[in-house]
Amino acid sequence: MDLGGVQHDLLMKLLSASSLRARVIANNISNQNVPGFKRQVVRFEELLGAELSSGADGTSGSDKLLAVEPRIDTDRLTTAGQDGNNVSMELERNAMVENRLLYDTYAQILQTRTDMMRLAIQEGR
Amino acid sequence: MSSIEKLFSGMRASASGLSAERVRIDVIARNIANASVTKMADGSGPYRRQVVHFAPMLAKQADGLATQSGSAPLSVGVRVSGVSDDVSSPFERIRDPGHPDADADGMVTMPNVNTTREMADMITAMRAYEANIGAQDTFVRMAERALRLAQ
Amino acid sequence: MVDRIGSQTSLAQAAIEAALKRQSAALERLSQAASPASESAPAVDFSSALKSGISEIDAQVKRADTLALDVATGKVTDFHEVAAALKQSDLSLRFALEVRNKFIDAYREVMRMGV
Repeated sequence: MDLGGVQHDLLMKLLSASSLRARVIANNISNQNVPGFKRQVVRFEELLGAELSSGADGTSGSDKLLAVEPRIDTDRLTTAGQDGNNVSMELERNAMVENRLLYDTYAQILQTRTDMMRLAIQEGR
Repeated sequence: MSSIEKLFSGMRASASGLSAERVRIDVIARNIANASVTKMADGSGPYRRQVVHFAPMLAKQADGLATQSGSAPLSVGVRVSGVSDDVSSPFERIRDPGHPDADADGMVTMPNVNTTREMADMITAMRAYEANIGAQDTFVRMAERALRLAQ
Repeated sequence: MVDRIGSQTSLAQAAIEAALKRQSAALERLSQAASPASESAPAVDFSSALKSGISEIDAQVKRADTLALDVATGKVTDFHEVAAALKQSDLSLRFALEVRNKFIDAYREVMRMGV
């Protein structure tokens, strides 16, 4: 039973990445009318997936997984308006809502694991 | 679809709808703004009404659902396939000899924009926009309700 | 600070596993000592029941362990999947703990009745 260590750290990282993403999205929204501004995205989940599938037999050592860090990338692919700004309110709103659901999911998993830990420590009495 | 997108596929369909309707609203607004433009900046004839074309957005890569034999490709939303000139409705010619662009007969060729019709289209687009917002909110509520099951 | 919390829970985990091992070993010795006298009694093997109970606890918690990674890498496609997996792990843990406690209580009861 892995009460702490890797799984806990991974969950905390997922939550931190989600938190960072929320800030980046808010920054995009505040810059929606700045000429030439290009929206930014936070990548973490896909980096984890890439690390996982690059392992020898489809698995990856937990050390390697924990070494993956969130990355802020500039999105230059999304088409920009005449002022060179490519922030779309629809896109940012969608990203914001998705990220919040993701955060809630990770938080729920962490909550349940913590409750289970406490229960196991108290030996169910 | 890659990795985590499947979890949010329902919501992304709504997001694509919002983006598409937004383009439509912008084009309608442009039509209305140019309804009286009899000569373009490059000297050519009156403004031509613009129309937006929608098409289903298909899943970029085939997943299990899409490759079942006999089933249609999986549609994951809507996209704007193009914005083009409306060549089906004709320019309107009105009598206005005092107009700077009037011809020898005192007739002016006006854009093929019917403002009333544009307003009706605008209302339709707004309603579609709001419907997509509603669908998105429903997705969120369902997801939150599902997560609460774990508590 | 997060690292320290992680290592603290690792220590707690190690302590709990050690305690469970000691409990299991003690009950094993006791059941072996008691077994000659209870040949004719119904064969309730407390030791193995306890062991399977503990490994059940372990298995159920492990299911919850990979859930976050599965969500992040797209193996989970619906939110109710997450909730169901969490609930199942939690309920299984509670059930396994309850079963184990009942066995321990019953065993103590039997031992008290006079050997």
